[in-house]
Order: sequence, then C-alpha cells, then structure tokens
Amino acid sequence: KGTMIHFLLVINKTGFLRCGRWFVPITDQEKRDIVVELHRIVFTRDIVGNLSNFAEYRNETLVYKRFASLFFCACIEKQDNIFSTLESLQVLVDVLDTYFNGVCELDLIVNFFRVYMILDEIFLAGEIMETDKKKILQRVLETDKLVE
Amino acid sequence: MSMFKKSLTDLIRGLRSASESESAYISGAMKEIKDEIKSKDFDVKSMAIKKLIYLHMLGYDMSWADFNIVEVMSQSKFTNKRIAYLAANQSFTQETDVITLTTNAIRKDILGTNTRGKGAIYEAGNAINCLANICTLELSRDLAGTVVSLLTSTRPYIRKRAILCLFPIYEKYPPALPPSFSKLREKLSDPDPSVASAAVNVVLELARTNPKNYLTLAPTLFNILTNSTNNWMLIKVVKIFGLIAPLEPRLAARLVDPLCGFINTHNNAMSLLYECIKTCIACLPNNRSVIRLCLTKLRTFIDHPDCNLKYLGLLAMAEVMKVQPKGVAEHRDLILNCLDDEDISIRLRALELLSGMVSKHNLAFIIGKLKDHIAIADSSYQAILIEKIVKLCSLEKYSYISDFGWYINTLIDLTKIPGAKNGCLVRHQLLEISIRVKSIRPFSVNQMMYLIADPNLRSENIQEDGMCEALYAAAWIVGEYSNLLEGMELKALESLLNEDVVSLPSHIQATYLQNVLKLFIHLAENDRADEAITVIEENLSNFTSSIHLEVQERACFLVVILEIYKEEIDNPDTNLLAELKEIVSEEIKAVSPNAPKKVRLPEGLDIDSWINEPMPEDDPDMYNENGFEWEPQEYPTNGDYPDNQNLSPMEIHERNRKIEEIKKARSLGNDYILGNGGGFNSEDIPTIPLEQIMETNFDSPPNMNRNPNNPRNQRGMPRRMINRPTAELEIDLSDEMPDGWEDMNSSGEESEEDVVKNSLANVDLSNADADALSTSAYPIPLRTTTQQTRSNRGGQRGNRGGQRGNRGGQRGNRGQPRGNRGAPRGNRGQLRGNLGQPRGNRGAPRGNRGQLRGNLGQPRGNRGAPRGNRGARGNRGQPRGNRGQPRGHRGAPRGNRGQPRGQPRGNRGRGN
Repeated sequence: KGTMIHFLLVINKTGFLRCGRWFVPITDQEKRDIVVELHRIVFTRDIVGNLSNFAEYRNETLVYKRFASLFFCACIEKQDNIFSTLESLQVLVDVLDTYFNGVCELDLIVNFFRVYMILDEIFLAGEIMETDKKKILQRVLETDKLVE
Repeated sequence: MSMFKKSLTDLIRGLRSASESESAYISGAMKEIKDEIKSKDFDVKSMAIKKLIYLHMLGYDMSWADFNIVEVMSQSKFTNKRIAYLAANQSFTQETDVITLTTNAIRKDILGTNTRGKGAIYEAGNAINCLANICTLELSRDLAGTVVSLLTSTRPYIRKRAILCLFPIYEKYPPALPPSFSKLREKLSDPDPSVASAAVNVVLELARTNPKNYLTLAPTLFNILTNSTNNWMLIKVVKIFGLIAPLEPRLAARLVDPLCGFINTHNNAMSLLYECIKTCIACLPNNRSVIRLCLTKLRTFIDHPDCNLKYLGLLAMAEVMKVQPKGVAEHRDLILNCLDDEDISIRLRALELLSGMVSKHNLAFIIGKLKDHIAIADSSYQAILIEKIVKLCSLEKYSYISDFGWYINTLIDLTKIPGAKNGCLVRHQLLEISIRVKSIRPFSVNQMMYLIADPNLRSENIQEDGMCEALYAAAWIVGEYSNLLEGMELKALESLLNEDVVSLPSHIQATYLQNVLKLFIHLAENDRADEAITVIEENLSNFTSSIHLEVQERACFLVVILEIYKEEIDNPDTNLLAELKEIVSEEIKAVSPNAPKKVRLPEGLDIDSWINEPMPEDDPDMYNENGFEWEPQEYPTNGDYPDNQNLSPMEIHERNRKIEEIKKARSLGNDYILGNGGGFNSEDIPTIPLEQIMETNFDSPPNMNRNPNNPRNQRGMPRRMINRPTAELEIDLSDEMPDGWEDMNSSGEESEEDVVKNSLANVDLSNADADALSTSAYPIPLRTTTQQTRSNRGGQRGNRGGQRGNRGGQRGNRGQPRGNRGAPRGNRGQLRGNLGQPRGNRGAPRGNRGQLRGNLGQPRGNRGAPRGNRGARGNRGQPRGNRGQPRGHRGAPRGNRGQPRGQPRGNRGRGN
C-alpha cells in the first residue's frame, strides 16, 4: 500500500455507494464491507454534529466531508496530510458543482461515468494530480465534445 | 433506434421505481446485459458494460464480463473505449486473468499521442489512468518503457499522468526504477507546476520506502522549498525533507530558516503549517527554540474552537511526545480538556498523549477523570479506557503509584462497570499487585473477600474477558493468603461455594474449588476442620455434578480428600495434616518473563533436529498422464512395526479381524458405544476374501523410466498401488529439458520471484545517473499489430533481450496449451526448494519437477522456447483454475518451514 489515498468514496445518507475509486487492491466483498462500515462511522458522527472531519478507520485515517446528502470520504495513510486531503475533496466537489451547475445526488447517479472522469482528472494512482479547477473543467468539457 | 432493451437512464429509473422487487428487477436487467454484451455491435456492447458498471457500484458482480471489457478496450471509438477503461478501473483486480490482454490496447493508446489528432491525448490519458489502477507485475514490466518515454511528451497533460503512473509501476516492478530515475529527477524542475508537483509526489512515495536513496535530490528540493508558492507541492516537499533530513544533520540545519519562515507566516494554510511542524519535530528534535516555536503554534491549534485544528494539534503533539515528552507535559491542562471533547477522534488522540504526562502527583487525578468517562462511554470506548487506566498505572513498573491500596480500589471499581470487557487485564493486575506488593496483601485479601461475596459480580457480566475474570484473582488471593483472613475463613468458604458460582466460566469455578481446598487446609491447621467440612459438604453437590469436566474432577477430588481426612485424622501413624500442608506451603513468587531464557539447555538436546526424517511432500501436480503412479512404498525393514513385521498380509487381516471381534465383545452392553443397538454391524457385511498381491502380478506402468539405479527399485518389496503421488519419484528427464534452461536459471536474470523479492526499498540508485535511459534498459515496445506466430514469439522470448511483442494481445492467443509454462514453473520450484534450509539440496529435484509438470501433455514442438509464454498470462486462466487450490494449500506448510516440525512431519513419516 504505497499510495497516499487508499480509496475515495461518495456514499449517500442511506449508505448507497454513488462513486468509488479504489487505489489499492481490494476484493469486491471487502469493498462492500468497507462501504457499510464507513457509512456507519460517518453517519453516526454526522448525527452528533460539529465534530472534526477525521476519524480513525482500521489502521488508517478517514477524512470525510458531508455535502448535502452525500458524504465524500477518503481513506489515507496515517502519516499523510489530512488537511490537504480535505482540501482536495473540496476541489472535487467544487468542480462537480460547476460542471453540473449546482450538483445534486441525482446528477451523480445519472452521470456517474462523468463523475469518474472528473475524479480521474483530479486524482491519479492515489495521489492528488491537479488542483487547478479551471484546468480540470476545461479538460472535462473537451472530453465531452469528443463523446458528443 | 433502441437495440437495447434498456438505456442506462431506463435502468436507473426502473431501479428507483422498483424498490419493492429490486432483486427481481436486477436479475432481469442482468439477463439483458448478458445478451447485449454478446452483441457484435460494439455500441450495444459498451452500453451493456456501462450499465454493468452501474450495477457493480450497487454491489453486483461484474467479473464475468472481464473479457468483453478487453474487447471493447481495443476499439477505436473513443466513446466505447472510455467506457471499457472505466470498467477495467472498477472491476479488474490483480487476479483478473485477462489483464495481460490489455497490454496492447494500453500501449497503442499511450503511444497514439505522438501520431494522432487532438482527441488522442484523452485516449492516452484514459489509458495511463487505467494502467495506474490495474497495474500488475506483467503490465509494469512490459509497459514501463512506454510510460517512461512519455516523460518527454510535449503536453503537460500527458507528462503529469505518466509521472504519477510510474509509482505503481515501480512498486510492482522495482527494476524499472534505476534506469528511469534521472528522467524523474529532471521532472522535479519541470516548467509546468502540476508536472513538477506530480514528480514530487512520486519522489515522496519512493522516499517512504528508502529515504537514503533520495538524499541526492536535496538541492533540487531545497530550491523548490525556497522558491515555490504552490502549497500542494510545498507540503509534499516538506514531507520529503521530514524523511531524508534526519539522515543528514547538515541538511536539517539548513532547513531551520525556511521551515520557521513558513511556521511564522503561513497562518492561513494550516495543512502546510502542520507539515512544517511535523518535519521540524522529526529533523530538529534537539533544537530547543524550534521545538518551542512548534509547541506554541500547536497550543493555539489545540486551543482553537475548530475541532479539525484541535485534532491536528493533538496529532502533531503525539510526534513531539516521541522526542520531547516533557514538552507535552507543559500543555497538560489543554490536553486534559480534550478528554471531555464530544468527538471520539479527539478524545482518542488525547488519550494517546496521556502516557507522556502522568506523574506521581497527577496520576490519581487523571485516572479519576478517565473513570468518570467510563460511566458515559459506549462499550468499545469503555474497553479502550479500561486498558488505558491499567496501562497508565503500570507505567514504569508502577513507579507513579504512591498508594497501592488506591490502585486495588481502582481496579475493584472497574469490576463494577456493567458489561465491561478487559476482565483478564484486571485479573492480571490484581494478582500481580497482591503477589508483588507484600505490604498490601492484608488489605488486598480483605477487599477480595468483598469481591467474592458480591452477588452482582458472580451473576452478571458473565462473558468472555468480562469482569467475572476478576473473581478468578479474588478467589486465588483469598485462598493463597488465607492466613490473613483473620476469622473470616468460614465466610470465605461460603462465598466460594455459593450456588451462583456454578454459572461462572469453568476455569474460574475450578480455581474456586482449588482455593476451597487451601482454605480447608488452613482451617484444619487451626483445629476448625469440622466446621469447614460441614460447610463444604453442604455445598459441594453443586459442583460434583458439574457439566465441566475440570470442575467436576476437582470437586470429586475434594470429596475424597475430605473422606480420607475424616477417616485418617485420628490415626497416629499417618500425619495427614502435615502432608496436606505440604500442598500449599511453598510461597508462590512472581517470575520474570525473561526467566525461561536463563534456563540452560540440557546437554545433548537439539530442538531443531528432526525426530523422524520427513516424508516428501505431496505434490498434486505430480500425477502422470495416467493419473496415478507407482509409489515406491517403503515398508519398514528394521522392526518399526514389530507386530506386522513377520506377518503375511493374510495373517495381518486375520489378526485385525480378531481385534475387531474382541472390541465388539467388549462394547456389548456399553451404552456409550455407538452402533450397538441395531446400528451398523460389521457382521452384516460378508467378509471379502483377500488375495495376496504380488508385484509380479502387474505389468510395469507405461511411460515410467524407472531408474534401475534407484535403490528403492531394487528392493524386492511388495508395492502397493495408491494414487497418492510422491515427490520422491525420480524420473530421468535429462533429455527432456528445453535447450538452455539451465543457463536461464543461473544467468542472473530476474525471474518473477526475484522481482517480487526485490522490493522497492532495496533498489540501489547510487548509479542511477550513469544508467542513462537507453533502449537496452527496457524491452523495446513493439508496435506491430499483426500477430506473430507462436514459435516466433517463443523464440524471441527465449532470447529475452530481444523484442517482446504483442504479448497476449488478441483473442487468438487465449487458450493456448498450458505446457508452455513449464520453464517459469521450474524456476519457481527451484526457488522454493531453496527456501528450506535443512534441505537445500532439494532445490534441484524440485526444479526438475516443475519442468516436468509444465511439459506434461504438451506437444513436443513448443518446448524449445522455454520462456515462451511467460508473460502471456492470457493463458493462465485455464490452468490456474485447477491449480490454484492445491497451490494455496501448499503455501501454508511451506511458510511454516522454519518452525519446529518434528511432530507433524514425524507422523507423516509413517505413511499409511
């Protein structure tokens, strides 16, 4: 497990996975377990309210943030920078928001492959690749033109 | 237009409305997808895959479509290709067998940037992305050169991707690192900020595995540190310095200025500030003024109302604690406040810091605080707190405890927490304190009396590792130190024999009974045996019929002792009391955990030697074409089986029959023997006449070159035909080896195993500059799309330095005979054989065997090309399926090899 981000998930309030990118090899069964566990952690923390955006998960650190009904979660190595991870989640959400012009959960569901595309513009191999929102958007829009 | 039964939107909409019968809806949709995916129209196919990705996200399996994904991947249409790449990202794992088939498509798309139009860079971007996600050893080895060649691309969009993709490649295939390292280093000063940032990222990940290798990058990185304004990159650079600077004090000293500069000015970018503080602590632990600066900053963090900053501050504080525990102690007040925080993440961090700040004066206060928390904590946090309390109190060999009476009471308080876990910990502490601290024993015994008399404790919280475990300690202490009971002995006896006790776990009940005996002896000494006997006999019936064997046995033992006592006590010839006293007279002392090490090994005892020479391991791959083998069964020749030694098989059979009869006669009338009343009766089966089998009755099996020199073959022993294959079998295969196979094993070229063994940390980069990137450093990517013939490929591969084309590109390559894997398998055998020290010499036969295995059932013609299909893992699917299982099993015993093994192996030696 060499990468910074082990996996990046978008889970909704009821525990459905809306987008998930795994940067470390994990079996499908483990993936399902992780989604359930993660949802339990972030959901209960969210109910308490006014807590930090970090939690310990297994031997790693979970960085998450809730946007409307969706939790954006990234699981990173303990020694990695939790704040910059949090900021990168913010970048992702900002780009999604601009791209969909006010993003909502349904956008993510119907256009899930576009979400992955945007995600791949920001993260690669578990590292933060690009943080310039303008550049990211421009690339995504260009790709859209190719697809028609 | 719809050739699809459902579009993606239909599927999503349908799924949302069909919330009641979701599974039925999905199985219907899956069926349609399975049809569509077989379609010849790639648009239909890719749409089916797209739907499948969506279902996969909901938790449904899509691994069955792996091959279809590869098919679509090699399409030229970007829309379809992109879907296939996404699908591969989502569903391919390291075990996906078709993964090598993607090599060509990925290579083609990556290299397309140089030739084709504008859309090509997005194809390449997708391909690199996919490679980074699905990277396996084979893919890394084959595509490393291609990816490195992209580092010089004119487009930053491609460069940054290629750079980031290098890390997973290095991870899987470390030999790719040295030749490309100088290129990577150049990219640190790339004009495009995101490209440079990507390079910094990769260097950081690499430096984690072996920081020493990257000290040479310090000047470049220092330049970035002082000039860049990109916080994302600065964070990583500071992180790298945190790894490499501790190795080089001069470098650490130079970092003081820039790092302190950041700490003093960058108030807004907390992530960078945090990273600087962390690096300062790691690199400059002895620079007081810097540490002081960090601590002041951290104090503002922890004091901040924002809980994220609080968390961050505590996290960094833990780093400080490693180097300057005193520094943390100054901020005790703040950290203790964090114990009350709502957020468990923050509380846990604060707990971690506590061990750095306890002292003789504040221990009681801190523990009191933790005890308050236990009352309101949930069960998992409760367990953590109990553990922490015990850990804090036992710190530095209990040197922070000024009053052990207080500690015992604290432990007793812990036992009263309803439903709490960690009972074993408390039990251990109670025993330890009572045994080690003599002065506290009277108090301890007194307190334990209350514990065993407590009706709550023995009826509630009965669970594994629950607080009932404390009763174990209490009973033992009361029994062992019964001389300190001062007239409460009878009361203690009554508590120990209370009827509630039977609901406790058996090991606790057993301890209770043992200590009843101790109490009895103590009372007998003081001429109060009669009272004791009355109490014990009144209550013991609860235990003599216990369902726990251990308890029952001890109770019955106790009954007998009491009876003997009653009979013999007046007999002047025996001194029964003195003998009983003998049982408990010796004082039990604490034993150091290191004590066993000081026991000298008796002369002549060799723990590592075999008791019996091990039997060769079973090797399921060793079946010959006929599915069985003649096993050279070794019958004992030297009286190993004295009874059987001189008997003919007929006589043995006869004897066994007699034994059976005797057994049956014995079992008659015994209710506990199954099969007596009308069940299985061996008499119902007519005796099968046994014929003596002589070796001469059989022809020798076909295709077996039995080596006449093998002593086993000369021994005139009867042989049994069984289908358990043996690994000892010696087959002369000298003329069946492919040409050059020996060279290949010894030429120092890395086999797959070597590569895996050479982890990234072991890569030596000291000569990286000298290794310019040249074509010889990587296999040249072959850019033909036409398929080569098999023999051709094999030939090239055999040369290995040569070109490596088209590995498993298209379908045609699939399902080729598996025989080709012979050579690599052989290698593997070789390696494995060498693993076990005591039998190093097994290496060679193993290697042979691998070779044999691979070659079996393979048409001769292919054999000249040993390495042949190595990479063409497309072939793998088939053989793997069958072989995976036995292999997996094999792994386990092998892993254990280093352990003492006399026992299990010895048994095996007997064979059957």
